Amino acid sequence: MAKKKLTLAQKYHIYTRGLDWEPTYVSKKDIYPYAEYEGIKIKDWNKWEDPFRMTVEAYWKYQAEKDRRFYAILDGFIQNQGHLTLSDARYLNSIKLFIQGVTPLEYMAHRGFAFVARHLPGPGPRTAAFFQSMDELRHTQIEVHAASNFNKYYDGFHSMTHMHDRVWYLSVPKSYFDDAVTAGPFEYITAISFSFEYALTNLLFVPFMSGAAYNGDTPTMTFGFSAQSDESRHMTLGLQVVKFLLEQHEDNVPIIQRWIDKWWWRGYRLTSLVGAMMDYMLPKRVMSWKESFELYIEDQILEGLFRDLERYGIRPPLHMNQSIKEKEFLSHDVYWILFSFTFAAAFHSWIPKEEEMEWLAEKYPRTFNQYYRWRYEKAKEAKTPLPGDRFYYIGLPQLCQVCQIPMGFTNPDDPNNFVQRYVEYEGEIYHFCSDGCKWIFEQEPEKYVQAWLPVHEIYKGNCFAEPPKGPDDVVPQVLKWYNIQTDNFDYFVSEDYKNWKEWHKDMATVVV
Amino acid sequence: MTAVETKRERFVAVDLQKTEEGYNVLQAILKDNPGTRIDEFPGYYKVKHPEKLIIKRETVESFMGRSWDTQEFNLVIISYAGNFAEWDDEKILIQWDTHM
Amino acid sequence: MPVKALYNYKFPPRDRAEVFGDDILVYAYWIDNPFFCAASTWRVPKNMKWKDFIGQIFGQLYGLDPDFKKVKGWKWYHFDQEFNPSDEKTLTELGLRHKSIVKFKPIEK
Repeated sequence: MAKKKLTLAQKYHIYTRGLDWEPTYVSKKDIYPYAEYEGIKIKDWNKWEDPFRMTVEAYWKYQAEKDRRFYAILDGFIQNQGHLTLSDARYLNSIKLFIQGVTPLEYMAHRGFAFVARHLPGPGPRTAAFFQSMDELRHTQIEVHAASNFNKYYDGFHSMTHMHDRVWYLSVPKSYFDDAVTAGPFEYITAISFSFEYALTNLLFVPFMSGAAYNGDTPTMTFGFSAQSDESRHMTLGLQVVKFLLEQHEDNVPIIQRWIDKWWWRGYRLTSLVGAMMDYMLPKRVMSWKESFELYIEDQILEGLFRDLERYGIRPPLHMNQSIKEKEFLSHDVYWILFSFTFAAAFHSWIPKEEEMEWLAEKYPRTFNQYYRWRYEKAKEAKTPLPGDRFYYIGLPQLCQVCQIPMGFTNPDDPNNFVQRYVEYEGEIYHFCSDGCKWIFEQEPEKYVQAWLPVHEIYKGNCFAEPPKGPDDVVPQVLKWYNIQTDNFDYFVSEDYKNWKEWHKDMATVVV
Repeated sequence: MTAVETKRERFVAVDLQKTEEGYNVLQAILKDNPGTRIDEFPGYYKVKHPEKLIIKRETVESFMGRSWDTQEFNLVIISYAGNFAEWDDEKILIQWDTHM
Repeated sequence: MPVKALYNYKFPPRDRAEVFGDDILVYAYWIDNPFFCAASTWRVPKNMKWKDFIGQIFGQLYGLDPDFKKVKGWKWYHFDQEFNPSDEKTLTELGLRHKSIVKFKPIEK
């Protein structure tokens, strides 16, 4: 008689617990030096349960299948000259931001989870972190492969890792992840697996990727959904870790709460870039930032998740109310910042077309016409000597010491002004875009006084390819150091636009 | 800190890829979970239920016309809201307020 | 609250005043005018005269606003304190320091 197959639960148990052992000639403390200093107390790692019950065998099998599907779609798109069937080449500017800003974070996540997989004393979460580390590397790879096709035809895709370490707007995602990987393993996993994966990646990988599909970009939709299917496992890891830590010891509760407070705001500020991408950079739009915030954050996270966590003594993140108040301003503020500084960016921006302004006014009836439309009208008048018939902010902005975004977040209670906060710490002044970022600084000032702020670095002379020959040579030397070539300025003076028109000149479907 | 005030609704959800397999899983969910609502977006279905969602191997197999391992759910899921309260060889159950 | 670490976690601030020598960073902000998407940052000598400072920020940046030339005069704030800078005084003499913010808005008639 054939032996009965093991059940999923049995297989998982054998794989995780069965392969772990108690050390005899080395102390556990020496093996796991980072396990205690954050103050987290664990009584019994065996209480850990992973609902996905993933084993290596199943992992290889399903990940390989996900990859096969992705590469089949990518090949089809490439062979079929799929880039010509996009809704409009303007669309690709959101993908440039993605590839420059997010893909390097996938790689950092790969490193971060490798660290966690090495240093958590429990075999269950170590296994989950190990899988996630491999997932993140896979995400990096499929995103690079999807982008490399666009790189053959469009600007802005050629230098993502170099740019990620240097360019002003990319210091926002970079500093976010550097903040996380320089924390201990428990804070890291709360920051990334829980606060980012469970709460925020939905905004990036679900409605935005649906937008990619809607704009004809099947490779991006496929890598997005393929990555997000792994994220489902990552979300589960985040939720399980947090619940596990909360149940293990009551002393863990205030520590976890503080991390949730911090990482909600860090992640939310980072995700504001996605708001601008969704509302302004997709020529065909699926849903607004506000709608996706309501669905994925207010419904799923506040009504769903945080009610679930109440019984552990966890409340919603400290500055969540401000996020809700900002939801009709955020994407407009961020696109206006990106628009203003496009002379120094590796993507293009543009004045929204009239029908796009109407869409924005319809989706944001209390804010767009009142506070934002006039800026684009004025931008047509306020010309500069730079290419593109419109305004650029000829100067350098004030940056937030924590999130590093130019300090341009509207105060919902005084919508003609931005929130500005500052503190003095040990004789030096620090400025912040919000109470959230100020609060984060005050929790750990020693960490954020070291921030590499792109504007200050330019003023210290650290961002030039060669010393500028005069005032007019300053920006060109910075751009050269960034490796920005013909990637900047308004879309309608770009190589992308010129080529797009050329490629479509005989086609009835031309979109200009 | 005052409680966050929302006039929102509570549901469990799973976001499924709009593929042939995703469609079959969706049909199985509809059959086994009366009261399920679907929002359609480009590329994906958002499947919501006020209390819980159960995905049964047997029902999925009846729509697929072949055997189906519950771990194959990994290939169609994009995202979800809730907890995986149970995931074994026969079924997957998603709901809130399940604790270790 | 200190950073939790396995060693003594203390580093000098990266952009402290001494790094900029005889210069300081000054931020400038046009109140009630979000056409400029954030306050601006300027590296300027401490002993720069006020008139040269405003000449620079108005000449390079704020004059780009078509409404700029309609303004008859400005009301000034150092952080949130109103102040009346005189043209010939230096930034230091006016009380500005490293990472000060000066804010301004048109004088209403």
